Amino acid sequence: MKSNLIEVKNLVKEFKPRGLIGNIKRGVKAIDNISFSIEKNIVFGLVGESGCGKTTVARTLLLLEQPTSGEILYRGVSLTRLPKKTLKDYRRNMQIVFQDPNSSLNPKLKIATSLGEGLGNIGVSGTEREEIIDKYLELVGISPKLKNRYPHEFSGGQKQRIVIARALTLNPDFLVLDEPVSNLDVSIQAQIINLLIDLREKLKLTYLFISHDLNLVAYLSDQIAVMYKGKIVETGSAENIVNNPIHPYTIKLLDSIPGNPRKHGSSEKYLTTTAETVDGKNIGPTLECPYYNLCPIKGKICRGKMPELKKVGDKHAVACFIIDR
Amino acid sequence: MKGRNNFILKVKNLEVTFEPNLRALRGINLNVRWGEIHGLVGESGSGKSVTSMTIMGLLQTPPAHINSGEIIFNGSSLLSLTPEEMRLKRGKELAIVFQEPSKYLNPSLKIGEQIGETLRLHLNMRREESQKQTLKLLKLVGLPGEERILSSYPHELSGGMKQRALIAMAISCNPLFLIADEPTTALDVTLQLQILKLIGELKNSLNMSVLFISHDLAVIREIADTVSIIYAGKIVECGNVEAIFNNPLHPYTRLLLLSIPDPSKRGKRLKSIPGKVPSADSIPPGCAFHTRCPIAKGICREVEPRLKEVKQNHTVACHFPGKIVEGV
Repeated sequence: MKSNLIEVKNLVKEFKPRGLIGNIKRGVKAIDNISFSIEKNIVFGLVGESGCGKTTVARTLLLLEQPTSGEILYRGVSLTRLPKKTLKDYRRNMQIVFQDPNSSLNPKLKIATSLGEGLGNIGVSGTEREEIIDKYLELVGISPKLKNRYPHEFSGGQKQRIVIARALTLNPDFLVLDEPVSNLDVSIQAQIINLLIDLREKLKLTYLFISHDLNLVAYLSDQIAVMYKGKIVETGSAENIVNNPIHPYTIKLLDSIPGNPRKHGSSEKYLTTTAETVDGKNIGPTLECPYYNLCPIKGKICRGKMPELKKVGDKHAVACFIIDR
Repeated sequence: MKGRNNFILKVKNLEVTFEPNLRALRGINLNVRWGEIHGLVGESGSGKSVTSMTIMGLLQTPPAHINSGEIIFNGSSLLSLTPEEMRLKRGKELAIVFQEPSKYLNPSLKIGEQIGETLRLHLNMRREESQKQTLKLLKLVGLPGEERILSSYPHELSGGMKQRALIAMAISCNPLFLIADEPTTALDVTLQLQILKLIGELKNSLNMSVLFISHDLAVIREIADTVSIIYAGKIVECGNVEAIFNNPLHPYTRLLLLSIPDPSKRGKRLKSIPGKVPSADSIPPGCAFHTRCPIAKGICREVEPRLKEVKQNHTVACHFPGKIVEGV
């Protein structure tokens, strides 16, 4: 059995708006009791629409946000309980690449300075630092000769390569990729995807790949989790999710891929042409299935009870009462 | 006049430059038939939006200069109209829907007011009349609870609803021609398909012709009848949707199609196009694509290929149309 690199247990992140007198307002649960684990050397895809909590998962997982409750384990070590100083040693193993390369590079710093910052923090300096910078720039396809240039001198695709190189300088084994190609043109997208595939093989990396594009997630990932309103509604191997989806929301996502033959045959039922009135926020405790309002197959039980993620096969779990019917 | 082979819009050899030396459009040729959805696909900076802005007469001149070319819309030459004449046509005969709905709605005016304004201006409707018509339009674009939406401000609506409101505004005067400039790019995937379906339905029920602009080939495949591929300010290939997707003749089109991930080939490297789209101030001589093209030869560096009809209704600007090298 493969061992888990990352384990997330019952993670909750609640954002509380401040009222006038302390916290009197009800909070918004951006992620609501999420559990999943990522095996070594796989690509774990996390897919969902805007506002579903994908990015909050990424940020909380790396403890850029403090989780409200729940546990995050890296190689079996619970990061949430570590003192700050020890945590710093673990951070270098887990890095993140954001969507917009323009806002993730400091425009006033030469790219070599940006790349060297992390190394400086762990006491690597001088020629050793330069060598590492050169090595990783070369690896992502940017000539080290260009390292004394500023971000604005590079194109969008090149900047994203530089951001990836920066994430790699500390030699991490886990990379969170938060919509890394969504801002790029189609032809450049393919270049970056190829780069990510190559790097994973060369450096034995594990990815958490986050995107709204199920087509892309299915292409890259071994395991997929589908998120809706802060919850995982279905998770399974890429084959299972694409060929044998069970949750009505997963089916809707698959059938919404443009140009895709609607092989799940449910199109008319799912794709109404009238606007849906959705309040995207998950305010307050609720007892119904988060997908209740839009679900084409809802029943009585869905109103009074929250479906839990239940196993339906090998590594395939669904949070929908349809599996009990 | 409205035969299948007649064109509602003909763009001939349109050249637009921006000061000081950006060659945004280098001779665009575009023919949109009556009643079709014509897809225009290209990467960012290829000239898609400059094309749509020029057609709508919304281009700021200067900094832009229309150097040559003609735009014939429904028999009249748009470029020779005065700004005032164009203003009367815009919104009434030709309308446009933009990418980001929140940017194109006035945040301080109620939705009903904004849609009604077009009706009062172009169709001389009175207030009560325009309000009735606005309600009808909102129903048409699938906004439930229309009464409430009339008196909502843009920030009270979701992204998809805002886009629907903008579409309602665009179709309010029953235009002959609609330009949809990346109307679904800012929307979530599930909403995207709904808006695509809506545009398709409206096209049929209102007898419109549509120029649908997108960077996303999959979206174009979903909605378009005819497709034009634009690269560095020029149309490089045009044909009906099946021909373009099943039998692309230009190497750029073929490579673009291959760079879309196909989940059945999971985990493999994608065929990508090396390099990037040339910027408008440094377009290579000869064929603009030759620097990235896997089949380029000497002639491609020197002679710019012209758009030629290679098969029936399928035009390509390439010296070696349909030539296939290994893997491409």
